[in-house]
Amino acid sequence: MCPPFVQGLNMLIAAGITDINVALSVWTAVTFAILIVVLGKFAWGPILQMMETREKTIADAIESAKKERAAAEAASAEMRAALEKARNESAELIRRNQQEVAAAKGELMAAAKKESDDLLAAARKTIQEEKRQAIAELRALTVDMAIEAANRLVQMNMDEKKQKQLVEEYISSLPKESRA
Amino acid sequence: MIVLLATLLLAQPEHPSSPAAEQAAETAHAEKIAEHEESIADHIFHHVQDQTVVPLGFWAGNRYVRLDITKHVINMWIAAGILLIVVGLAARKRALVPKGGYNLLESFVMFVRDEISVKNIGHHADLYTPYLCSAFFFILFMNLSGLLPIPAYGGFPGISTATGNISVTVVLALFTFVLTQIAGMRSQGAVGYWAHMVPSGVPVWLYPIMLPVEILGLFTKPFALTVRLFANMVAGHIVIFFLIALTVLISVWVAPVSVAFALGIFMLELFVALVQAYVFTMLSAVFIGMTQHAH
Repeated sequence: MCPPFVQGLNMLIAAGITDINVALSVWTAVTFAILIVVLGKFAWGPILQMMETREKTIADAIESAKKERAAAEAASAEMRAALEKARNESAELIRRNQQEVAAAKGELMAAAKKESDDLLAAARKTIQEEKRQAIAELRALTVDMAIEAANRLVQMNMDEKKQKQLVEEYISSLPKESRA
Repeated sequence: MIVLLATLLLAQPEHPSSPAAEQAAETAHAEKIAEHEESIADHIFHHVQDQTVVPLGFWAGNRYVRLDITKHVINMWIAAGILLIVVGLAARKRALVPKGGYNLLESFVMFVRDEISVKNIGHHADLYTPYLCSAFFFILFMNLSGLLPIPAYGGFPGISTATGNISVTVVLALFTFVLTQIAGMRSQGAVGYWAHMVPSGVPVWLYPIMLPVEILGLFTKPFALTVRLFANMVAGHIVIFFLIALTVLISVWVAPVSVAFALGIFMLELFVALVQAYVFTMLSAVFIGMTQHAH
């Protein structure tokens, strides 16, 4: 005894469920062939084309975005480097400037000091000169005075007391001068 | 389906009222049930079977070639018409930025292209994607339109699934078969394809076994496609009709259960309609893909 399933299947097969109806097959072939041609030409072709175009567009957009990003990053890095360089340069400039200023200041100071030293030296020299001259003059004057005093002593021929008095008078009449 | 239910319910036997005639009535009832079983089988078969609507044909010499327009031809044309309208309308609105119905259609096309065609065929997938799309949508629309519960009315024979007829599925499978051979000869050369029938690397002494096996394999592929699609589509319909027929075979009181089950199977059928379209397309792509490289 067959199981009911097989019985049912046998019944269906006996009733002709697996018979091939050639007319139906021919119509299927015709319909399917027309569908393949029509849909292939007017639907799948353009749709697949459109999908490819879209995929290409998106891929291109991503690619160009990547490129632009890279370029922007490079530009930004470049700018940062330039900025850094400028900053360094300005710092260097300031440093050098300060150095120069300090050097100039030192130079100026040195020059001023030298000048004042020179002036001082010149003044000392002048004083020395004048002092020597004064001493010389004084010496000459003293000699003259001594000669004068001697002359007067000789001419007047006085006693010793008077002589002494005279010399003292003369000396006191001399203008008071500090020692050289 | 609804019509079937109505006819079955109307055909419900009247219960005998006299207890005296119970014995005789019981035998009569049993006979009637047996009779019903016959008629129910007929009913179910009638619904899945094709029938001529417009007889057509011509004489070729002394041989009459039949080209009848049948119920399944009409279903097929309805499906093809809906397919052409839907795809035509959607494809007209194609745009670089897809939206609406076109977007839906394109996601299906993309699925066929990426998941079925490219994955299985590989390098020359683009050549076969349009055919696979046509097969997928044609089968899907036939499967789905066959599920519409539209009864016969006047000259209109009602709706029945064309893919539930082996005459239809065998042709669909033959298209794939022919395309597979063309694809093989295209990729390996007309001679090379047939010369590589037996995979390289097989010892020569195995050739007497391998060659018949490979030739058999050539034909089991379309046969499997044919029977798988046909059996899947017809089985679901038979199960639905049978569940409804239980109301007559057992009692009218099983109606809630059988209708609930029938509805469940119907939902399953919706899924199966999609799955079988996918499986047919997938296997077509696999068979084409198998010919793309010398084994």
